[in-house]
Amino acid sequence: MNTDEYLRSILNSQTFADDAEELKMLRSRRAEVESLLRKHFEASLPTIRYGGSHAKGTMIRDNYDLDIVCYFANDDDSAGANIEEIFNNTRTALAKKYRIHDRTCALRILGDGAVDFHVDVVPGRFVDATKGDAFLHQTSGSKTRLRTNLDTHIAHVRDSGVVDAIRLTKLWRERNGLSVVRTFALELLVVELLKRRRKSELADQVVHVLTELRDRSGDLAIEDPANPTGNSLSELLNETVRGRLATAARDTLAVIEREGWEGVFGSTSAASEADKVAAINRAVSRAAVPTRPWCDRR
Amino acid sequence: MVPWHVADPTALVALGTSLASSHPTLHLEVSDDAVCVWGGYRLHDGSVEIAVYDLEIDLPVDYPNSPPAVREVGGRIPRVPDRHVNADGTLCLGVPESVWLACPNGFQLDDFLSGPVRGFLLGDALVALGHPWPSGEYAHGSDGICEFYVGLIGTCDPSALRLLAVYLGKPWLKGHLRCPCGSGEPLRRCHLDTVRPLLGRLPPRLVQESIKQLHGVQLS
Repeated sequence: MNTDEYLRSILNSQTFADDAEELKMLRSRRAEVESLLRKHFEASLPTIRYGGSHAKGTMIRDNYDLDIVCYFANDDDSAGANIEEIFNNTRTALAKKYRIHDRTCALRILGDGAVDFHVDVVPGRFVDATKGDAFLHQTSGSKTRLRTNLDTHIAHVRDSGVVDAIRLTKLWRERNGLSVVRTFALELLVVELLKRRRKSELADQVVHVLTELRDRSGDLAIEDPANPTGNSLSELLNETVRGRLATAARDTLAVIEREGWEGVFGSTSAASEADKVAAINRAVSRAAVPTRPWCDRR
Repeated sequence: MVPWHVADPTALVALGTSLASSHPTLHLEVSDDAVCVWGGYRLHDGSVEIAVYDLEIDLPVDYPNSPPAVREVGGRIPRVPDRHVNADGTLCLGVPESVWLACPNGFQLDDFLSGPVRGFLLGDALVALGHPWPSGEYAHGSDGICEFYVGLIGTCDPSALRLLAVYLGKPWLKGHLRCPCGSGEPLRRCHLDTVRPLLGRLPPRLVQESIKQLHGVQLS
């Protein structure tokens, strides 16, 4: 298997089949959320649709979630007088059935015992009747409201010509514990860094991204394609994020040189749940000292 | 105290080399007074990939002489008591004494990761798949500490633990000494084979802290 075949195998292993249980669960959860929101906001007709990696084609198995946007019409006050009220009222609606964790612009829904359903709901209000741009509420940052456009974001990534490189970079992020790097920032970075390398081999694209992250992390800049002058993304690439990207990129380039790509991404086959359970039980039975966790609280 | 990596920079270099070889997705971050290891901890068994956990590991000033603090920062583990994670993400690897006993040769990062950390994350991965903790779990709080000592010497009575702490401070234990379990028997006819191996592995202060937590009693 040559390098390109290996990397494509890795991407295949990260792709859900259409009938995958995980996707069925996400679709089922989306239907549940949509039904709940429409019932709660029965005076409105919100636009509820997929956003995020599902819409952009960049979903990976290692860390998947579903973004569901719930946008209200620009002249509809029934969901809230302003975007912050809309955000809070959406949280109230979802809290009837789920535990909720606030994210910057989204509401993460959780089950009992804080089980993660991998679903974020993004409340918003369209700017005008064209239903293009929308306002979102921000729970952190210098501005509490940002203006964006879902279709612009989706097209910017989906039509970039470098979706495979984006997916591999996302996988690299997962494997290297770079959760400080937001997906949105990473996608924009990869699109920007590869804008003149769309026809390059996949391995060369990823090496180029890593090399730039290692060598020029201080100079990297990204813009929100939906609102380049209005939305500052500087916090998404703060000093900590840049430093960690550079460190991880440096270490990964050393691994590639020393061990090849398998040292970075490992096996091409995705283990089933049964395989994982069997593997865990094998590993536990071999442990010299069994582990029993303990928490110093009630 | 001079931080370990300042006192011996070659130890820091050795750690970096070891990490690059055994955990290439964990990265070293060094500041003037602290060393942090962060990144993706790859949980696997042979070729079966189980999960990747985002960890931050703060190495103590006296590394490798005491256990590092480990935090899960990727949000994979819900911050609920039954998942044995504190609100700040620090993993409750075990009753402290059990963590020390799991690393008899000190807390070199490789040993620590392949011992208590791997054991905890294997268990967590199984729980995330809907199964119970594979080796059981201690009860929360002081009940768990009591469970530990009952399992070790049959009791968590404060007088027993006080005596155990005294013995752990000795360089050697003679078999005629009274067994701390309260049986009235000498060690050689009771828990000698359990207690003697603890010398040099279990600091007396851990037992003293447990006494305080269990019984609110300060050891004089």
